[in-house]
Amino acid sequence: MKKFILIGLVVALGAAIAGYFYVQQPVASIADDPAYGTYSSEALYTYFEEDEAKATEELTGKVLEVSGEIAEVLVNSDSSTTVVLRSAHPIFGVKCRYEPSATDLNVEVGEMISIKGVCTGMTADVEMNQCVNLNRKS
Amino acid sequence: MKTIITILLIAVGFHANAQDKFFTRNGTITFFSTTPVEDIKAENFGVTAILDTKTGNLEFSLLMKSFNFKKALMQEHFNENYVESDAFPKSTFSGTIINLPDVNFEKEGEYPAKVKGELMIHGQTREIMVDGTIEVTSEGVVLSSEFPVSPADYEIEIPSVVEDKIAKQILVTVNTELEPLKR
Repeated sequence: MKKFILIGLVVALGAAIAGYFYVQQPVASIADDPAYGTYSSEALYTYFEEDEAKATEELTGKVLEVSGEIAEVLVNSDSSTTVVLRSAHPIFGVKCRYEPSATDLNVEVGEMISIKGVCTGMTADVEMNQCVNLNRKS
Repeated sequence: MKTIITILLIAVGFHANAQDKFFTRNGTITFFSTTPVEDIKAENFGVTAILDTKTGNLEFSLLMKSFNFKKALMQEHFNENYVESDAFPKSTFSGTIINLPDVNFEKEGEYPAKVKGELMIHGQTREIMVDGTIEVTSEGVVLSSEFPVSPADYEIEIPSVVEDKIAKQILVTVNTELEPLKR
């Protein structure tokens, strides 16, 4: 009987430890995730602009590869970097935020770049989060 | 929201003085829930905001899926179970500074502000009035505010199994630095 109680306690302890680590998991990097689709920044912005509801339903939450010219480099309040890739719109484009740990980006306005990230939808810009740089085209 | 901003920016380009308009696409809004069981914090660094200093009109827009959590499971529950981000992807605020004459946008300094407007979360729109600060700097305008939001007011249902982990009042913090709109 004692043996069964001991096994039960060990199993319960193992389940509790596994549950704890499952709950505490940080948001995983998407660096090695395959991309759902590949777009130019112009094409992605235009897709959202023409039918935002359809594009949101199809692409939000998906990992995308986006290539384009950097129109603006922004430093966020947590010291992370956001780049805005140019679209056909005079002001808005595709806004890509890197993780704060990405400190050695060396991104510059005018540079052609390919980025992978999670599309989160569109406000004025199309937004991408958890971005990582892919090959550069400059 | 996108339409409002686009129309406003086009109007600025053709008719108005751009120095009256301040804009950001990387403002910060955080929320914080604290209970004896757990603290939950999420940050959004992609807030779009525009301020018209002549009229006092303010517009904010953010994507719910752009809130970053420390824990993946919290982020998943937030988007899928609570705010239902697929169905309601955006939150917006459209309002006006009601004590606009008290704010001198021509002189650097910190000014108390009262803002009244409509906050939309989870597809539900409620009128709110919040106190905040407008800081006029050499580079632009910094908007800061803290105010409580009750999930129940926006028909966000918290399952009973986790209700002791999520505060009845969530503290929302706005810290948004806007720059003069460039044509």
